[in-house]
Parts: sequence; structure tokens; C-alpha cells
Amino acid sequence: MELDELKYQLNKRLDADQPKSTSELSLLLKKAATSVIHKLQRSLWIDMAANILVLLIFIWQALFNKLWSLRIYFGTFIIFSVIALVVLIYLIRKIEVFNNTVLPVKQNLEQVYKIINFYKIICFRATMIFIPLCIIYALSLGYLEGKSGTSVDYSMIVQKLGSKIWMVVAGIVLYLSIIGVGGYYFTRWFLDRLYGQYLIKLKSLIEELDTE
Amino acid sequence: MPVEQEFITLLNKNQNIIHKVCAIYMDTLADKEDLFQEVTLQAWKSFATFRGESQFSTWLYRVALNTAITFFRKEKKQPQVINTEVFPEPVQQSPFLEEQTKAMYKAIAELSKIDKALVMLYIEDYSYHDIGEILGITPNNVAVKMIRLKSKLKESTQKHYQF
Repeated sequence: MELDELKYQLNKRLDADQPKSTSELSLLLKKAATSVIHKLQRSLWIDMAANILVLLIFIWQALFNKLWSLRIYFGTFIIFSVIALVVLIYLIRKIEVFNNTVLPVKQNLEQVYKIINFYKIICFRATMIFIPLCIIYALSLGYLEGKSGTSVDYSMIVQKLGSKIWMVVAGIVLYLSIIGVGGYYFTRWFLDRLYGQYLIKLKSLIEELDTE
Repeated sequence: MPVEQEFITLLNKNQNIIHKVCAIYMDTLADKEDLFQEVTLQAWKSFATFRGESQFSTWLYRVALNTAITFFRKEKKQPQVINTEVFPEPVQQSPFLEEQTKAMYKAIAELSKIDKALVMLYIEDYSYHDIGEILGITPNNVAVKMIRLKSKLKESTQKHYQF
């Protein structure tokens, strides 16, 4: 039996579901959407709120911390925090525009893929850059602060350690490697778990539409 | 008429479209309900951009298919079983035709999301040009896909009808 011969029957069969009343339909409009893109939008709003809170703390610390090294540290991270805020606003705006537009299926799939992939790449790169950057920057500023005499003098500690210094350096390198390598694999695993499978499915759907 | 009221009225008239999409894309009643809710919400969110350039039904088809195609449930560990109990009630017809329709329905349930969209639009009598516009591909591509799809369905229906 061919599709054309059963066209009418199939259409009737698919048409036979119980219709919803207008009050049921109205109620549905009050519920929350559960699609991946809506979930991402909600998590971006949470990220934004957290980012604003962190930004305020950074500004407070940059202005009023007793140690100049920490004032510089938090002052620098105000810039990064503002950049993160701009990226979050850009993504939320992009999703907002996307949600209000009805595109053809293929373009719709491509847009969802682009938004999620962009978020995934940004998250991954930011984590990879910031973990070592924060540690090295904090250690360097701490060392300089100590040398200037307003805090613990690390150069004195280095002198006291003498030949054992290589053990401390090795310890720091090991710590950075574990944090770096661990952070790399954990972030990759976490982002893949959240969006990896979804992106693969979207890509295969786009490819399926493209193939003749 | 307030916008929400206008939307509900239009949706009420065309809700069979969402029911059809849910029936073809989901295999449990709970999943169907979830998808119905998701399509309704998505249509409501984008209703402001509906300018009446196309028919509401065509616009709703786009929304429903976009939502259904990007709507993924967590993979179930057990193999997927086609649950015929959730199929919409059959229309009155001869037992032979009923069995054939059932077999065809099972064959459709096994198709990919894109193929399901093609079947859906095809049985709604959309032209290849319109199907191409909804899916974002060329009418030529639609024609090629339909030829392949029809023979795939024929084979698969025969398989289901034998057992």
C-alpha cells in the first residue's frame, strides 16, 4: 500500500485527537516553556544576575580593600566582568529575537545550533583562560605586594626555603597542571553533557535537510 | 479584541494542526501533552510577529514543526516500542484498510524527524513549493526526498503488515 492511497485515512486518523477547550488553551499560555533554548535563556538570566552581584563585590573590593594588590586584582576583573555582561546581554537579546521569529525549519535549526554552540565555545574558552589567569595573576600580585612590604614578603620565604625552593615550584606547577588539565576535561565533559548530544542531533538534522 | 483572545480564537480553530504534529512526533500521551504545551507557548511568544502574510494554519505548521523537530526527550534505555494505544482513534473503515493504515502509521513512527515533517505536509496536500518554503529547502530537494520517502514507506509498511 502506498502513501498516496492512505493519505485520506492517515489525515483523518491524525485529526481524531480530543480538542482542548479555550480555557484549557488559555491556561497553557501561563506555563513555562521547557525547550533547550528556553532553558538556556533562563540560565543566562541567572548568570546575568550572578554576574551583576559579582561585579558589585569587585567594585567594592577595588575601591576599599586595604591591600593594593587585591585592589588591582579586583579592578582588573571588573573589566572582565563587564565584558561577560556584554556577552550575556548579546546572547539573551539574540535568543529573544529568535524566539519571536518563525523561520523555515532549516534556518531555525541553524539558528538554534549557532546560539548553543556559541554559548558552549564561550563557556569553554572563558574557563580555560580564567583558571590559569586567576591563579598566576593572584600569585604575581601577591609576590609584588609582599616585596613592597605591605603584606607577607614572599621573597623572604623564597630565601628561607633555599635549595628546597624547587619543591615549592614543582608543587605549584603540579597544582596548576591538575587544575588546568582537570578543568579542561571537566569543562568539556560538563558542556558536552549539557549540550553535546543536542548539538550532534541538530547537526545531523541540518545535514539531512541538505542532502538530496 | 485583545491580542490574547484573538490568539486563543485562532488557535482553537486550528488546534488540530498541533494535535497532528504531536501525534506524529510523540509516542506517549505525556510526551504529546508536553509537546502540545511547548508548541502553544512558542506560537504565543511569536504571535506578535504574525502579520497575516501567510495563512494562520501555515504559520502554525511552521511553529509546530520547528518546535517538534528541536524538542528532544532524554534517551530511553529500553528499546523504543511503537505504542499503538496512543494512536488517535481510527475512523470507521474496512478491517483491511484499517490494518493497512495501522501498518503505515507504524512505518511513519519509525521515520526521522525531517521525514515525518515531509509526510505531515504531504498528506495535508501542500505543494512541493510550499513544503520547501516551510522546511527551508528547494522544491527540487523536496521532490527527491518524497520519491525516496514513498518507497521507504512502502517497504516498511509491507514489513509491518506481514507481522
